[in-house]
Amino acid sequence: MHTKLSEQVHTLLKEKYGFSHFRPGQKEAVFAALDGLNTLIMLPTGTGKSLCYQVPSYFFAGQTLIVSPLLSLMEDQVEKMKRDGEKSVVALNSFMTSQEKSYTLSRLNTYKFIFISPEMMQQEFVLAKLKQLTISLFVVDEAHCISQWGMDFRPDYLQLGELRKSLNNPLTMALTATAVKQVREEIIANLGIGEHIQEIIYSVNRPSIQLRVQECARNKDDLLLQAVNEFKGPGIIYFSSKKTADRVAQLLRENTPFRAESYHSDLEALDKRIIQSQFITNQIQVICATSAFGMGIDKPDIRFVIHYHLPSNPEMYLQEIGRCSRDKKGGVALLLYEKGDENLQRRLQEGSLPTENEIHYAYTYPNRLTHLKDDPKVGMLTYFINQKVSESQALHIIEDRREHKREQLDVMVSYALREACKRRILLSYFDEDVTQSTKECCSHCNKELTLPYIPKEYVENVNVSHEKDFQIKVKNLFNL
Amino acid sequence: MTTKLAEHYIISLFSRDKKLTAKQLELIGVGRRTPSILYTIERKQLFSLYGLFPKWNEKMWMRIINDFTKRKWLIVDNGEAFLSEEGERQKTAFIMPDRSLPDIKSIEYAKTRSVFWERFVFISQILSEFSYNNNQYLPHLPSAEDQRQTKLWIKQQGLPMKELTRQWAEEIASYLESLPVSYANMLVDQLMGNEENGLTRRQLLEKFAMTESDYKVLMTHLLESFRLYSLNHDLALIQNLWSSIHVQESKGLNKSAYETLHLIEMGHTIDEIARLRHLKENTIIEHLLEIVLVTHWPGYKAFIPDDAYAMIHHCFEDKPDLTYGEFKLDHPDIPFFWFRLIEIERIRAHAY
Repeated sequence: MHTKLSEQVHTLLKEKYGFSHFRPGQKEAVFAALDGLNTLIMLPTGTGKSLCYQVPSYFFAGQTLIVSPLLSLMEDQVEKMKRDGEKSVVALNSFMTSQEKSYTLSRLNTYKFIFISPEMMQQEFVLAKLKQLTISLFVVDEAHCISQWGMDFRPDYLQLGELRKSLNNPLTMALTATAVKQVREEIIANLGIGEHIQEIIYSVNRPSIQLRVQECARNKDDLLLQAVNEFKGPGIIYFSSKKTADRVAQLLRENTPFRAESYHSDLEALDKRIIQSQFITNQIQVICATSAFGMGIDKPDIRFVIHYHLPSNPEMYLQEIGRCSRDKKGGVALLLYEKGDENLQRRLQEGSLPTENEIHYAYTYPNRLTHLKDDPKVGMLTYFINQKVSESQALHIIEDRREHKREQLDVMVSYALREACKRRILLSYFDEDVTQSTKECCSHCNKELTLPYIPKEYVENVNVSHEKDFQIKVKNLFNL
Repeated sequence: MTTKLAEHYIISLFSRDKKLTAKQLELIGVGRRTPSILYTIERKQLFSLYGLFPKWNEKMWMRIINDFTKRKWLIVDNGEAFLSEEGERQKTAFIMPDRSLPDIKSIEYAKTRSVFWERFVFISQILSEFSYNNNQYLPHLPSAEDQRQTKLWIKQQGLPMKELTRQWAEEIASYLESLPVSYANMLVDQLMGNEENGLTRRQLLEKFAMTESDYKVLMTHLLESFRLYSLNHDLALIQNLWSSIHVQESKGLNKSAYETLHLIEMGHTIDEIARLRHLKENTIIEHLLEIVLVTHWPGYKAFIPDDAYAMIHHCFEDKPDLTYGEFKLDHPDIPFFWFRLIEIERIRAHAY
């Protein structure tokens, strides 16, 4: 790498992002792309993966196309880039009205960064527009969705290799936070980036997060209240059920001094945005969320993540607990486990994959699936049918996936129950080992754990209404 | 704040002689837009209910009617509910303390209200952040189209941003001062801006001890009061925002009826419009009725010949509750929509 380019990169980092140095992994990713190498980057949650593709993009003449699986995450990323001063950015997804879509497509060449959902990318007229551009960098965010062994397998993602080919095999960067070796191999094979590739793989271990498991015996709510009172916050509690998230948020509001809100897909978009802002500005201390919350939340001082329900796999668990202690000042990941908790996940898993009867029905009446296209099971079967995968092959693939999900859940049960270092159990799933052992590592290594941070004291916020609140507020709002 | 607002509001929809069925309430509440529903709204003066409870089905309304009947507020006769004497007392008790909420006398702004409020909150956010020189914030309306429209509106005002912000704040303050304090606080708590996140719906309901239905009823009436206040007190920016969004929202009409209105205003006849738009004449007549029922458009008289206009009025003077079925026996050549337009005219003449 030329010294001059290196200097330019650091100047850009300073001027555009205000950082004087890269975080681990970022520099290698940026310079590999600038060297014209395809990359597969696995960096832990919260280590700034988006910077890996944004920085090199400014040194390329053409556009950067970013495929992102989650619409809300995409919107967040676009808004964040705009907020940070990058106006040449757009998201193409199903949130758009047809009017907005055609307006955006007509001026696609004016944007530097184009975020797109995999579904949208497959639409012929969209692809035709993309082919007219000079794509300098093709980014696949959350690349583990490509692999059927990944935690969020998305059939649409399997098309990305073909789509990349039709765009003339642009320089590619695949990003993920948690992917086992098998998943990484599948990402590379599917995207066809095996040659000229640099893999930048960092450990999924987050030593500043203390791992705790607490077994419950019909006293989960009590133990949760006890934990929240000890950990104080800010923190996130994850649930597999929206109803329970609502109920526990209410329980916390009534029984602790903390402000708590629930967050899940039933909330209006505006309320979601308000809750995120309130959490970031510490107006709320605890969020009771489903997995809908967290991605794109840029809050370095989250001190705890509690799982009220057993997560379905170690990848998801690591991603979710990785949201605490991004400032590395210490955090606690607590799993509240009660015997039999795995049954809820098993039921959810069973419901997420098509049964033998459903597969047979789909193959017998493929035309009847069109009106059910929003169902992920239907999406998966439609993909198999379109790809001319035979019914027996599809059955076999789905059975394999079902088995794999069972194995992943077994790892989580073992994490909860086995008398061994919790960190070692999790890391061994990713073929990693604990390199540095600390006294405060986990609830197995130390039965008398202390908090790895100094908890903030919160004064109960008494809701005092002033007679003329509105006058003060209008003055504050408009700086009068 | 105000307890059981929605409950009292619902009882106020009824009267001693205004009979309502659960089905009618459902269709009006969800905002069904057929000439017959629009006419029912006009006849029963149920403008504020239009589109107010989009998720309430007939069963839900039945439950409410049954509950009110048990409390002896309503009497049900043959599926139609009307106020009892006790109900009349309840209704008066509700109307008296809440005089600050205006009567809604048309459905014209029903579609515009919610868009206005979203845009109003968004503009407040932009101007608040501007007043603190902050351009790094997450806009609360993420849609590119909303953002484009809002930028355009700000530009169209032709004022420097500083001046625009000052005037905007003044207009808001002026309106809020006119309200009971609790209502003013409730509105302001929904605004967001520099270091102000606003409250979620749940937080707002908790703070002001309201239910979701209370909130809907209150916001509908407060927004109408905001619109009227902006007209009566020359709040130029607020007034302009209302009118620009109202045009974007097809002046309360569906898009097709709005297109018909344009052609009517250009002087085209019903059959010409039908030909031009490749639609049936009957569809254009339905549009005409929608236009009259939604917007109080005065040009409808041109569609009724003078002699027919006088004759239909004459018949109504002889028999005020004349139905079209009865009328048709003697005048088979008079189309239904002439008769309906005059019915609407008469309702309005008596109502106001």
